[in-house]
Amino acid sequence: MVFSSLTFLFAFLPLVLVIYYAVPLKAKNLIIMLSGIVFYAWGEPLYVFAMLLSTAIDYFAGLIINKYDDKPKVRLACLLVSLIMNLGLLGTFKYLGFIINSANAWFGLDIPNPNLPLPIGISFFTFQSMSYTIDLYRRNIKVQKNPISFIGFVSLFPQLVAGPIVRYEDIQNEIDNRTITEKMVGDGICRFITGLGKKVLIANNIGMLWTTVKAMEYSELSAVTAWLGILAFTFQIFFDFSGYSDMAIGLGKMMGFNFPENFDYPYMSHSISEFWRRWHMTLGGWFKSYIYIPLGGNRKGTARTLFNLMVVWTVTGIWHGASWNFMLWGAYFGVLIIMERLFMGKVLEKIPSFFSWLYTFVLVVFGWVMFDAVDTTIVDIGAMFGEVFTYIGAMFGANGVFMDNFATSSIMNYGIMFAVCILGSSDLIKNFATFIREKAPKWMQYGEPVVNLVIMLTAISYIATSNYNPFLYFNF
Amino acid sequence: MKFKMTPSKLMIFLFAAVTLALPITTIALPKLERSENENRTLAKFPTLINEDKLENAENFGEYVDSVKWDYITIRDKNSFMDDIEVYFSDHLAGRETWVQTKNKLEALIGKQEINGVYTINDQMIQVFKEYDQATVDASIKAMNTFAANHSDLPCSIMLSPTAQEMYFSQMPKYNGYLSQKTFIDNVYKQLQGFTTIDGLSFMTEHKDDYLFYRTDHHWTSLGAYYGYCAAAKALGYSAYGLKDFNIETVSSDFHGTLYSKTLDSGVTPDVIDYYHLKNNAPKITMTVFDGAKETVYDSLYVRDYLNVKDKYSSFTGSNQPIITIETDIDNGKSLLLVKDSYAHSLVPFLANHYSKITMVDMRYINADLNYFINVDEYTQALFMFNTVSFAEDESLKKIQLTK
Repeated sequence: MVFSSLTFLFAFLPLVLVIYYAVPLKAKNLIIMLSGIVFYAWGEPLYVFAMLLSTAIDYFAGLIINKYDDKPKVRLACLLVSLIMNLGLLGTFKYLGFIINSANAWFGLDIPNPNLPLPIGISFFTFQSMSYTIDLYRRNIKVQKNPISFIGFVSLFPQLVAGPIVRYEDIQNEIDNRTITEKMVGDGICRFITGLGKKVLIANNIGMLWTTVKAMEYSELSAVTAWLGILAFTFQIFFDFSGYSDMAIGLGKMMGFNFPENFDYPYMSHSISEFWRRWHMTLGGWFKSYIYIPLGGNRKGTARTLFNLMVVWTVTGIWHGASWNFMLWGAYFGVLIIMERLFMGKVLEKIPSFFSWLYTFVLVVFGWVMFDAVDTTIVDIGAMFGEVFTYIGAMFGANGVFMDNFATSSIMNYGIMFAVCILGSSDLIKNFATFIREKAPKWMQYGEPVVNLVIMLTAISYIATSNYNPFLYFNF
Repeated sequence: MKFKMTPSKLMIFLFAAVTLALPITTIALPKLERSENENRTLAKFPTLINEDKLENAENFGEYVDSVKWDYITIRDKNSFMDDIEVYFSDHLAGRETWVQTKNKLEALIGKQEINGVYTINDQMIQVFKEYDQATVDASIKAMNTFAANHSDLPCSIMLSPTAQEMYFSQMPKYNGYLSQKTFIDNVYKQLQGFTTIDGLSFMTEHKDDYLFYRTDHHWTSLGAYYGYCAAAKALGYSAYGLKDFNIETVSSDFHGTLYSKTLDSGVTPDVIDYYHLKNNAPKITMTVFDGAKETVYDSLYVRDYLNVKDKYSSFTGSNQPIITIETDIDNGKSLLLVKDSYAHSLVPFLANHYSKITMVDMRYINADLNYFINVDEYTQALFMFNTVSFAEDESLKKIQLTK
């Protein structure tokens, strides 16, 4: 079930919330567990068992790690079982087909590909669930003995399928003991509606332009068309994904949880390193805690630091999808971040901030070309580079056409949308709201709910009437 | 305790009102089977049991086997869960208001077309931007084959422009709208054994008149009249003048197919006129064959359709495989009219010149035409389409089956 569907908004959500608020605190986790399972099973009636299996293993691993506190070997064994199990699920469903296809293509083999469909959100819930056993092994957190609470943590539907990646550590205190205040619910609703608007009104709309450009022949694109196309995707993925995170955080608040933030105006960054501190923050945090730091982080000399960075970024790339272009995309950022470590960072600090912003933004946009302009089923790495360079070439006029009718048409039809996107990617609206809040607090207090009502009704008009409603991050 | 309003309470109240009121109203309201305004059947509530498959299955195991994938994943279209969403969307309380809101907003943010409709000065236009050349080539080839197979039958073709061509110069070039004149010229050049009829020139001469419905993709009776004037020359008789007709206005509240796509009530509803010959109007017998049975009318108009939304269908009834029109004109002339729905408002003019006209719609015929009629019996054949439907029609190629 996706948040921006009528089924979720007008059947699942009101029903769950009414029951959730009606039952006493002790029963609330049971409602969370049951609603999470229904939520997941609605989209994946079969794979819901994969999710429950992963959860069950981590639950028991946790119990045993806790019980044999003085037996390091038992603890390690439990951790390994949990890791192998989760990574095994991820490997089988997400990477097996890709590995088989690549091996077949490279070595002329003929291994049959089972073509398993990817369970929704598997990259998210396995990571959430693993964080629990790892942290327990490191004695950072306390064991969760109540199975309902534990399943509830994993299947907590707001964050189940597309992040933010909520670690057990983040909400361990709230799982068994939380207070739900009127303010939290009100704020949560505002946040949810903001996310709904970002997703339905902005991401879906601007995404249509990218869909059209992506279907065109890259070697015939005019320069302006190529820029407009990839900029459309640049905004689509931001509003889509951060919108989803906003909805998740908002729903979490409505249910009494404080999830970690996931986006902090990433397109305002002045370096690639900064971009990654502001984009999909919970994923970056996860890799930092569980890969970069265990590998030694930056404490083992420059060479080792650079190696560690490269590992983390390649893994980040491949986490986004089982294909070569995602690996390229990750490695690309690895190289950029290493360059910033070595010398570029100092340069960026010295040049006027407009240029450091431009440098960052343009490189991120090139990244999106690798991320989405390429056919993800490609196994021929040369062909993949070919597609990437054809597209980037088109952006710089390699096709010999600067502007064409399509570009004019896109500017006329999507100009306002682009303006909205630029505004929404900056902190201008936030600053404006803060300004009004100081100057005219009453207006802001009662104006905000009314504005949100309008956004919600508008979003409903789009949801109710459009079939174009994909969630990008479901495939990762 | 005294109730005190806070911003949070207001937000909670508004959110609860929307998320509770909308589903409750939706459930409470009676469910329509079809949306007249959108001109389509609405989704039925999905059932977990697929009755067709259940009937076809030998035993329950086989049935489970045949349906299991229907429920597995939301990414498979037509899964049960998707059907629920579609049902909800089709029957959502105030659905048309939601559609209108969305379309207004789309226009507000600069979208120049809504669902393939471009609106300019109180006129909705079905846009013609792209077509599949292979489809057009196949139609041309089939028509050439037909003409060659029936060399004794004089064949004519008329491609009528649509409203877009009348407003072409006022529409933004960059959106890629195609010139219908160029399209028509190209098709005409490739046809062999056909007399080509230039309906376009006749219509552009009168482009400021009410030639096309404002809310529908068809031409008006007046538009069809100019088409008739163009055709008459090629078909060998002189057309009646406008003053020879009594004009009967049968509706001034027609919301056509383009309205269905946009639900934009800002455009003035259309007027439907019937043109009756003042003197010597022929007596008409119209036989409509719907593929199974024949219905006979004593007029070219099925006025029952004036009471429903789809009022254009009052011209000769809705699209049907074969419609035969016989008149009391005893001139031995008969016309085979291979056509789309534009011909429905043309035929009242043509009927004044023939003892028999047979209208054939290839979209509904899957066999040799001679199975239903004797093609060689006719004294003339006219192929009549509007540019857009001709460009998109994949059924015309079946005409080459006709021996």
